[in-house]
Amino acid sequence: MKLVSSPSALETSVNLTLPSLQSAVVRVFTVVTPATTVLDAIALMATSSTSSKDFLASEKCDLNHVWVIDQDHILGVLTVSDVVRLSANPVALQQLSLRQVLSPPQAVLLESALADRFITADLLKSPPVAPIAVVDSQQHLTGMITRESIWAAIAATQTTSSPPSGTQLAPQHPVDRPEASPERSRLSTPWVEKIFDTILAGYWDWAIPDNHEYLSPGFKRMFGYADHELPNAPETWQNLIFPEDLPIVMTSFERHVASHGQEPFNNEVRYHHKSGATIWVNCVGRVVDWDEQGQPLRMIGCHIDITQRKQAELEMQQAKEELENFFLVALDLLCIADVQGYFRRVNRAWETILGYRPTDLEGQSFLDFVHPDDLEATVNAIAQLHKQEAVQSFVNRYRCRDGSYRYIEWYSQPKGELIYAAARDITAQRELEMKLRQREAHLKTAQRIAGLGSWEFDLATGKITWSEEVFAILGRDPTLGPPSYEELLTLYHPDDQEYHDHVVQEAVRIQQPYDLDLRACHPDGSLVYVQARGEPIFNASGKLVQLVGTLLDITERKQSEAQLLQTSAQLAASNDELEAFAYSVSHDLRAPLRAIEGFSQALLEDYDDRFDDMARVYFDRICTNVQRMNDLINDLLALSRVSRSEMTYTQVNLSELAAEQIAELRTIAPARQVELVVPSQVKAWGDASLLRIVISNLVQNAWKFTQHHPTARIELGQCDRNGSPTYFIRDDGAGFDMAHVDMLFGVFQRLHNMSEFPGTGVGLATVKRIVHRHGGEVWAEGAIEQGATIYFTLPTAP
Amino acid sequence: MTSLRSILLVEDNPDDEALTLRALRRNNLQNEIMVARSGQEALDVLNQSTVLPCVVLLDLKLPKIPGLEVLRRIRANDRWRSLPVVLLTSSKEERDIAEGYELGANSYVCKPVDFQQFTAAVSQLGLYWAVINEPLV
Repeated sequence: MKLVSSPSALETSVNLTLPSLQSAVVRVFTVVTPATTVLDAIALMATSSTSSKDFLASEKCDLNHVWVIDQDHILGVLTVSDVVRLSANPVALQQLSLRQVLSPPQAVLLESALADRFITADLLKSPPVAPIAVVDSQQHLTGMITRESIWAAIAATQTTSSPPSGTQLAPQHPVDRPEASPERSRLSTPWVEKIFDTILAGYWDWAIPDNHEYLSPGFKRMFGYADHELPNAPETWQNLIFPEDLPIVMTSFERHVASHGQEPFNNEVRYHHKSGATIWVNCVGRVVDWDEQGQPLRMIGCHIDITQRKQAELEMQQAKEELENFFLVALDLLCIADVQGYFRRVNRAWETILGYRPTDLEGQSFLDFVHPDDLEATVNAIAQLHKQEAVQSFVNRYRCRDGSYRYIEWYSQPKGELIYAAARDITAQRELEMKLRQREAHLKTAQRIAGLGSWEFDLATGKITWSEEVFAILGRDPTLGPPSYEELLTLYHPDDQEYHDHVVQEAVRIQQPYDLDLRACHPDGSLVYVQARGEPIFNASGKLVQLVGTLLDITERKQSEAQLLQTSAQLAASNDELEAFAYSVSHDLRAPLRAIEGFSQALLEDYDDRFDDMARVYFDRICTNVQRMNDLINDLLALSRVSRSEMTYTQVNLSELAAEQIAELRTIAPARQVELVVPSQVKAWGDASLLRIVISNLVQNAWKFTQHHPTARIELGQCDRNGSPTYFIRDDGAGFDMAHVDMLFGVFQRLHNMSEFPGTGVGLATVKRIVHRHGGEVWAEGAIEQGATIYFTLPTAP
Repeated sequence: MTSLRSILLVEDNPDDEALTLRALRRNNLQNEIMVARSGQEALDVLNQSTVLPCVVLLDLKLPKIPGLEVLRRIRANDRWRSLPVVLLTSSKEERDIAEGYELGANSYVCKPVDFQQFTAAVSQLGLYWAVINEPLV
């Protein structure tokens, strides 16, 4: 700061007596080739400053700059500032070449330009920060002008009227400053100290044989002390340094000495600040004088406060450790790969999730683990990363150590040659999604097959949600989405809209489920019947928030219901007609018979003497036929009664019924030898009076068709066919030809003539009618003169 | 004791009427036999008679007012309530029999088709109601 603040004062004096620029040119300076090491170049600055005292006194020279010249071509210059800068640089000086560290000259002036007044004025007004090279016409470096040399030239004109001479070149300080010790005079280059002070660095100068050590005020200030507070002695810094760091310095010094300066003395160590704080210091030094035995005589060096840098390094280290911890503990898969697709680093999650240890993967090709079917997509994703574009939510299947595959979702960010990726195992989620999709598909199919749709009605928002099937049932275009509630009403038949609204409102009011049948009008005008069911849904606090329900297409059911009603009505009408017919038969068909019979008898009785025998035979025939007609009518009426009577199901003992019928028949024809074979408990489930008719008819038939045999056997039995109780009555009588079996059960169908076996041909028809009314079946087996078996089935008892 | 109160036969079928009359006469009953050929006619006859018949032989199947309706009206009339009514009909329908008794028929007789049986049945009926049965005065 002090240097910079000077020019205003300077300006006035310069105006008065302008020094020649020639007097500011330094003619003695150090030159090296670019092959020189940085360390050697720095050493040149220091050695020239001490070992050339005599030379210094006689010649205007510069020790703070080392020029780098390659075959007369000026490459640049290394300054003390550069050295300070370099010493704060973590890169070891040995690793740097001069080319990397030198600065170009601020300007190049021809010798001839030194006399130019304007240039002179310009330079005096604002001295250059970096040195200016002065060259001759061949571009050879002949001198240099520095800020300090200009100051010196100005100072010379002010202190003496005589022009500055070469013998009078002891550099002078432009600003007064109290001196800390007599050793101060040893410092031949106050500018260096000045610069050190400015950049908060410290300087030390150790005379080894007498163990004197000069410590610059900057050195002391770095640790919070004023110059006078600390003595200039090695003990000073040895007391301030962290005890554990002292051996580092000592060891380094020993090695430096042992290697005769080859091993650099360059340490980063900690010192205690006066305030108790820790100060990190970069301590760089060099033995600059050796005796003939190779023992060090003098060592100089500097302290640079690198606390901030160290702090930054520490923070960086902490931040890095934090990141590292995150990397290690992350549950997700993290990895760093290169754009060629090789793993650089993976975290432990790879082991827990996929089974690979980091060493299994690092250096392996990323693609080697991708499922073959996902390879193409993955290659495309990598191509995108190649283009430095991030890849998000990319999913592929990755092979585990055990050979199985898991779904992994990737988020990858390329950065130059590297890819940073975070990934997550979404297999469970995938499987769940798949399952969910499958269920949804099942549900959809089930709804379609059942004609059953489902819906939701959010009461707060009025929003209605429909399953696909509801659209189909109500004939609404799915792209329209579900309707509002008001619009929904209009989809129903005008006569049903109010009813539907009422039922829904009521369900909401009383918070109860509802179930109603409605008609919906399709846009094409067709009508469908639906059954709408709804249930209230409550939230956690018991408030009714939603109605959910189903919509069932019941058009087919309604149609068959209507058809059934119609059929039932028709059936009832037929029954009524049958009833009327039977009633009429019983009255009207009998009356003429009675008249025929009656008047025939009246004729015989009243005019008996006028009829001969033949006439009487004819009258007999009339009577026989009337009787037969009467039997037919009675049997027909019985048959019709069988169809009309109400049925009451009970347990019926068929064995008893058969036994009773046989007993009755035996009283009529006691002479007949008929064996009845009946297990005691053949039981059936049916209407008792109808089953009595069945057994009577069958037993009577068996009795009748065995009448021409001297002995007969009639058997009642039960067997099982196709799970239904099956009964049979078997006789060993006349039997029948199976060719005519179909005629057996027809009304008025007879297989024998009247003279053989009397009958009306209604009996088996009645049996069939009764069995059918029970939901059973009846059939016959037989052969001529080998008997007949009539089978029938009845329902299983509940 | 022979009552000379009449017998009212309600029959629309002339054949049945002739056969019934013939059967009744076989017993030499002296009672007047009045014949009504419809339900309405039967009610008219009853209305006009000062002395009620000893029995009404009532067919069920009659034009306009059927037999059971005639019976219902007889039982509903204070004067005729205790009049013996025999349902003489061709129908063996259980329904008819049950309803007949329900309405207060004294007897239900099915006309047999067989002439001998028919004659026997009717003549016994006449004998019973006209001769044996003691009517309410």
